[in-house]
Amino acid sequence: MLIFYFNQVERVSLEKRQYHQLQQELLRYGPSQAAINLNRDMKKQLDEKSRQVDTLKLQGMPLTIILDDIEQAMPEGGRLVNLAAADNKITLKGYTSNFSSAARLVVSLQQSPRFQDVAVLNLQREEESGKVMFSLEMVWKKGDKI
Amino acid sequence: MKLSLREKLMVCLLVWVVGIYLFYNYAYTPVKNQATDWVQKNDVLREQLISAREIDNNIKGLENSRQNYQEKYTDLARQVPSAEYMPEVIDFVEQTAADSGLDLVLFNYEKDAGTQSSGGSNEKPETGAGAGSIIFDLTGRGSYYDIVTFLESLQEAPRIYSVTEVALLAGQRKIQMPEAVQEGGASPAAGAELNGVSAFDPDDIMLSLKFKAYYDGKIIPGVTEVDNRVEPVSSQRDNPFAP
Repeated sequence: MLIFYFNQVERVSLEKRQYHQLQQELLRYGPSQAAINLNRDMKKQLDEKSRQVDTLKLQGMPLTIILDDIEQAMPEGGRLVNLAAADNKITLKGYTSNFSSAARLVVSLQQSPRFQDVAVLNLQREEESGKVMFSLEMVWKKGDKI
Repeated sequence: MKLSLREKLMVCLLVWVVGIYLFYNYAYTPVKNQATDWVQKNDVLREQLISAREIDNNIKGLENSRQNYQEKYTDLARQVPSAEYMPEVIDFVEQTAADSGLDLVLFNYEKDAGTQSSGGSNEKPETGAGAGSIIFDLTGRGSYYDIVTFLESLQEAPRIYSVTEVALLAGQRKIQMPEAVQEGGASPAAGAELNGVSAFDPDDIMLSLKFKAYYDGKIIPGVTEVDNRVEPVSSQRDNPFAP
C-alpha cells in the first residue's frame, strides 16, 4: 500500500517539474501567439472595412455615365440648357430643331438601360427661333452602377 | 477488560480495515487525484506547445500576410478615412478643379443633419455602412469638357465621393448673336445651329454639385490615410488685415 502511495507522490512531483518545464518552453513561443492574434484582429477589421467601402461605393450617382448616355441620346441640332439631378430623378431642359427630334430624344433615353419613366413635361416651339424647347423628366435606375 | 483470542483477532482485523480505509481515502486517493490533475495540465500544455511550434515555423508567412492586410487596409482607409479631413478635401477639390479648367466659384461645407443636432466634431451620422458623412456643396463654371473632366477626377479620386445632387445650367453668360459668330468665323456651323437660341453659351456652363465624403472613426496603427496632408501656416505676420 505504501509503495503505491509513494509511487503516486513521486509521480506528482515528476509531473509538477514537467509542467514548469513546459511552461518555460511555451513562454518562448509567446510572441508567435501574439502575432496570430494580431493577424486575426487585422483580418477582421479588413473584412469590416471592405464591406463598408463596397456599400459606400454604391451610394451616389455615376454622373459621368449618366452624362455619357444623355450625350448619346441628343439628336443633331439639339442642345441642353439645363440638367438637374437629385436622388434618382433627372430633369432635362433644352432645344431641338423640331418636335420630331424631341420625340427621338425621348425614345433614345427610354432605350437606355439606365433610365426609366422618361416623361415629357413640356414641348413648345419658340416663335423667334423656330426651335422646340423641351422639358423632360426621368428616373435613373439606382441599382445600376458603374 | 479481558478479551478472548478470537475477540482480539476481531479487533485487530477491524483496526486494520479502518486503517486501510482511512489511508486510502485521506492519503492515497488525494495524491492519486493530484497526479491525474497534473497529467491533464501537462497534456494541455503539450498540445499548446505543438501548435506554438507550428505557428513559429510559419511566422514568416504570418508577417507576410500581416503586411498584405496592412496594404489592403491602407487602400481602403484612403477611400473611407477615420476622420473628416475637411481641409484635405478642399485642397483636393481646388486642385482638381484647376487641373480640369473648372472655375471654382463657391465651395461650402456642411455637417450632416445628424452631426449638427448632436454637436461635437467626432460624431458620425449613420450612412447604413457604419460610417459618417460630410456634405460639400460647390459651384463652378466652365465648358462641358471641363465639367466632365472634373467629375471624372472626382469619381476616380482615392477617397469615395458620392454625388447626391447636380445641376448644369448653360447660358449664364450672354454671347453675341449669330452675326457676330459668323463674322468672327469661329464656328459658322455652330452659329447657324444656334440660330434663335444663341443667347446661350455652350462653353459657359454653371455647375452646381452636392457630394458626400465619408469617414468612420476607426484607425489601425501604421496606416497612411491621406497622402497630401495640409500643413498649418507658419508665417509671422504683424497685421493680418494687411494684404
